[in-house]
Amino acid sequence: MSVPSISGVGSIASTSSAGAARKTGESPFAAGLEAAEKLQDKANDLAVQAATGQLTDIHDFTAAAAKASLAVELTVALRNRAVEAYQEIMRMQI
Amino acid sequence: MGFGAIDAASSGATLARTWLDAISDNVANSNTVRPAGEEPFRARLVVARSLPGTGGVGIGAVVAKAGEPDVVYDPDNPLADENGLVTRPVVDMTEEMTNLLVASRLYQANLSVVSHARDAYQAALEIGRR
Repeated sequence: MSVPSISGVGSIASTSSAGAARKTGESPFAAGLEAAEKLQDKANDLAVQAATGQLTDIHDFTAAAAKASLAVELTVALRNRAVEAYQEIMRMQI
Repeated sequence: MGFGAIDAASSGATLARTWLDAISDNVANSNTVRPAGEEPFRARLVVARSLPGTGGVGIGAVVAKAGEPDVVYDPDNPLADENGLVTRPVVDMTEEMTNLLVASRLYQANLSVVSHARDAYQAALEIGRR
């Protein structure tokens, strides 16, 4: 008697926190992370230039650092909202 | 992620810094005489140009101040020609000192805008925070 082999368990579909239908592969969280990373890179480049004395406009560096930290805070707030909404839904009694 | 207010104010601060550089160059050369007949030292003026949209401001041009230089009689000057004449630079100290005040206030005002805009954006993130 042949016993069928055990197949793998399919992955669980992730809960869409916003609830609205979105294009597959595009998420506001990922877009926010990308933008924050770009701002961070720019701020790091300017920091190196300022440290080596090549930067003539020092306010460029401080403004870029402020923008980068704002972008990171915004992304963190996005993540917190998403996690909160997910937990709220999971808490619902069936 | 567009932080338009910070970008525009940053461009204004860059213009103010360039203006300050030009003013300090003019003041440092306010007594640079040249032999008579030669082109005198002319003060540098920075021309601002507004950028489209909320792009802020850019440097349109850096022009030399026009005007006829003073030719004064100063025979003891080592640069004086055979008639004892030297050419004074085209720099108006009063104008430069006034511009210095305006340029430094412009720089401080733009940095203040950056600081306030950052506080405003951060306050927006406080909405709904528990």
